[in-house]
Amino acid sequence: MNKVIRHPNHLLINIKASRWILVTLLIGSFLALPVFSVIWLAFNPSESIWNHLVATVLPTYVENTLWLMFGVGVGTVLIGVSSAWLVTMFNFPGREIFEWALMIPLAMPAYVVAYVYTDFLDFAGPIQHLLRWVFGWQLTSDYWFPEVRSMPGAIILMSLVLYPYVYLLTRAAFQEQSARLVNAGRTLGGTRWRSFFGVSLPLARPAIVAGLALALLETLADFGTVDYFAINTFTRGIFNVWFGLNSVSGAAQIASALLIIVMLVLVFERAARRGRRFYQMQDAWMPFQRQQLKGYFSAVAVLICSVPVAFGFVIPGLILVGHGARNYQRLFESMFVKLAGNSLLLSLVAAALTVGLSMILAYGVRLNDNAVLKAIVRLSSMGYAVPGAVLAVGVLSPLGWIDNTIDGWMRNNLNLSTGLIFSGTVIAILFGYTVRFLAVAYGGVEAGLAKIKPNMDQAARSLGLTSTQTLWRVHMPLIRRSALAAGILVFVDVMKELPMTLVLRPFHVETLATFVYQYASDEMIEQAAPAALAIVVVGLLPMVVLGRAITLTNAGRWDS
Amino acid sequence: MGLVVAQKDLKLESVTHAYDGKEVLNNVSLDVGVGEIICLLGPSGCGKSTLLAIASGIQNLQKGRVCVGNRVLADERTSLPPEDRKIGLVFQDYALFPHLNVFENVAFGIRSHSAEQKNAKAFGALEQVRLSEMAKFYPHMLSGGEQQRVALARALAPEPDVMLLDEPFASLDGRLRDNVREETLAILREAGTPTVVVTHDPREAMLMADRIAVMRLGRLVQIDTPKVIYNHPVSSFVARLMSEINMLKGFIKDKSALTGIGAVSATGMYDGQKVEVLIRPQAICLREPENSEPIAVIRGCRVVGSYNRVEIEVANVESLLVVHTAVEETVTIGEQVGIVLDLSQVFVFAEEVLD
Repeated sequence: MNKVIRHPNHLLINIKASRWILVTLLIGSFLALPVFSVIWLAFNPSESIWNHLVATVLPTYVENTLWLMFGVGVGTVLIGVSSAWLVTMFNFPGREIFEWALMIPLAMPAYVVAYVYTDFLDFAGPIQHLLRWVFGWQLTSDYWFPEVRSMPGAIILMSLVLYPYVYLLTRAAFQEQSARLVNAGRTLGGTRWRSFFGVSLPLARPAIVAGLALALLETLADFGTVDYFAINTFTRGIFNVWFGLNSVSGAAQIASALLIIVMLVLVFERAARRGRRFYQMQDAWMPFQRQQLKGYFSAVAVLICSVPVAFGFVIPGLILVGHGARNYQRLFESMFVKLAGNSLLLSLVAAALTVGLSMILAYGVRLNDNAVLKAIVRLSSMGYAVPGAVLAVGVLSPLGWIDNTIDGWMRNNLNLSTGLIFSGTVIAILFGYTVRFLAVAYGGVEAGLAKIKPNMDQAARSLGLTSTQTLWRVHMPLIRRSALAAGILVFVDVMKELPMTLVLRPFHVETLATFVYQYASDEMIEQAAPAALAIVVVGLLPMVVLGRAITLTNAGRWDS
Repeated sequence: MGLVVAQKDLKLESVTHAYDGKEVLNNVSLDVGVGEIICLLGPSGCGKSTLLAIASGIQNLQKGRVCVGNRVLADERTSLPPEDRKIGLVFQDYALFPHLNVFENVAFGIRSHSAEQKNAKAFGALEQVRLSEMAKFYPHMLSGGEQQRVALARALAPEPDVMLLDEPFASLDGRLRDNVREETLAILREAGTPTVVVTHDPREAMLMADRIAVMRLGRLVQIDTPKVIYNHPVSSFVARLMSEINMLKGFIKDKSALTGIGAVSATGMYDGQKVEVLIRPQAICLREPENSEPIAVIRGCRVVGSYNRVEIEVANVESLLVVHTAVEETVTIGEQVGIVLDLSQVFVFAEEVLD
């Protein structure tokens, strides 16, 4: 009477259940490939020039890179923390504007600022011109003027555009600190000054370190500035060895050395955070009673906040606008339209790819709480820490290997040469962008997904939807906004990315970034001003998005 | 409109489950008949929610079997994904889709060939929970009670074989909770679907269930009608779970349990055995003190709706005892009273070894 009926194909069900694991693993490993191929190349060189490198250029690379990191580290922390503290704790004229404006230098790629200031402050530039005219000097020997194209110059300029990483994270940390904690510090007999060093600063330390780590990673990734200033750091070294000495494995060896420094930065960040998680009681939050600054103090506050904004964005921006206005007709040249089109298209596709893949990866992890899967996904989003020049090595070698394998097979079996299918084409550069910027998109998508309670998934599944249908009908509509924001961030990053674009772009394809680099290297920044301006304007996009997020958090509203 | 009655029962057979080597379910079997409502009752962490998750397919079955009618949903080899099980779920937080309006939420799970049929079914389900006018509203515009009704309609609309409700009223309070429970019960009765409701509230279980399944530490300790569970608990744990109760420690002598307030007859135990004597508050009657009775002193009194909650102190008993008396009766704090026990609400169990 009670004959039980089993589902006809239980094997199929089990395969269906693990489908997401497979897809996630596959994508994750594929994206982790470049980093591993750099390491592999370094340890399996076709010709070893390591000893030669150690004997010649490597010490210089190490020294310069470390000095640059040290200088930019000090600069970004000084500017970022002091301005964050001022805008969260005190009231002074223009505070609301500064709160937003302090992050806009982030829209300026370091190399653009470098080109602009060099042009402006050089011997032939307007400032020295003016000085000579006023004082009647003739030659460089007649007077002393600081050299922009120098290590201190690079440190100052990079600090001016990278401090917003520290500023943004530190400000958020200061804001999240319970007023009660800070006030408690004060009732225990401290002044505001002492409560800053005794309470606020130690509490914000993990955030400061996180921001500093981001700024340092950007410093390590920079190629445009150091190349223009002729400072031999690791990124420049990769290019020198790769294209100067024509040695890919040499480039990979330098790249791995750079990778070690990157790892050190990440380890340092982790270590600074370890064991010191600062949980805040949810209900303990209340808004700060900002102290009104008066007279002399308020002037100092305004000065501290306006200097980075002025020198990091307003002044270079105005100079660019000036150049651009004189060359506005370039905007309508077919050349510029083509450049902008290329940049736009590459950025759009890369944004869509990273967001799409992030969605798959994040959902895969959500479906299967699996340690291996999580590890693979974490590895695949490691690309963000890896400088573009290093990734370029890591992207090209496996793709080149695949190309040669296919080509060889086709030649042998079909007597047909396929040539370079991946490495010389747009596929290579899109792969590179995806690996480098996946983490940006993944962070946004994952945060969006985390806000959806697991009950939602379970409700949809119990109502007859498969896991894939649930993603389409429940998760995608719910994380639309987070995904869009993540996409915008990637879009801008791709637009600005220089070293990877230089190496991986298909032959003869120029983007706004490569064009600006080319012209600036040839001392023709004026001609490239419209293109540089276009990059900056696009770079302002996320500021609008972030700015909105800031006002929303200030109003204490929740936003999906 | 009534939904088609599903003529299948839900069978959980010897379900055993462990998280990280820690056992959360131990050999639990449960058969929920057609039209039957069973309440899973137990303190948090007793495994009742895990059992629900396994039945619905959210949690993979490790050992045992889940069947609906004669269809196997899960055994040790295979587990049907939740979407293939035809099981309706209602969550404590309702889990309504915030991007869809009430109508779209309810229509979400309906599989019909024509859009017309689908709409008709969704409207039918909405009418059943009396929310047709709110079809175009979004979840955040609804009150808690309305959201709960939408969740119920959404789960019932695809005509599931089984309904599982996980603490469905826990987010509501007071009178509203009573009203929504009444309505839900009526709708579930009309649907006739075998239903399991998880709750930690014995009153709720007694108000809803045909049978109550009491769980403790991953085991099913008693399953029976509310009346039997209340009047004949099988253990001290069940008795304590079902209501506020006084517990006295004592030991057996001459087939009686000796306690600070006298002897209670107890069979099937040996002399000297340590026992727990549980006395429901309404089983203690207060009256004018007489010589032969134990004497108590009134230490506190509160009017709690339909009865007075009186605390009395008895010599030789460590803690205060709670007594429920009729509201009309007046007691004075400090007054001396005599006590008489109604033995039908007094239970004697062997003392449990601590676990």
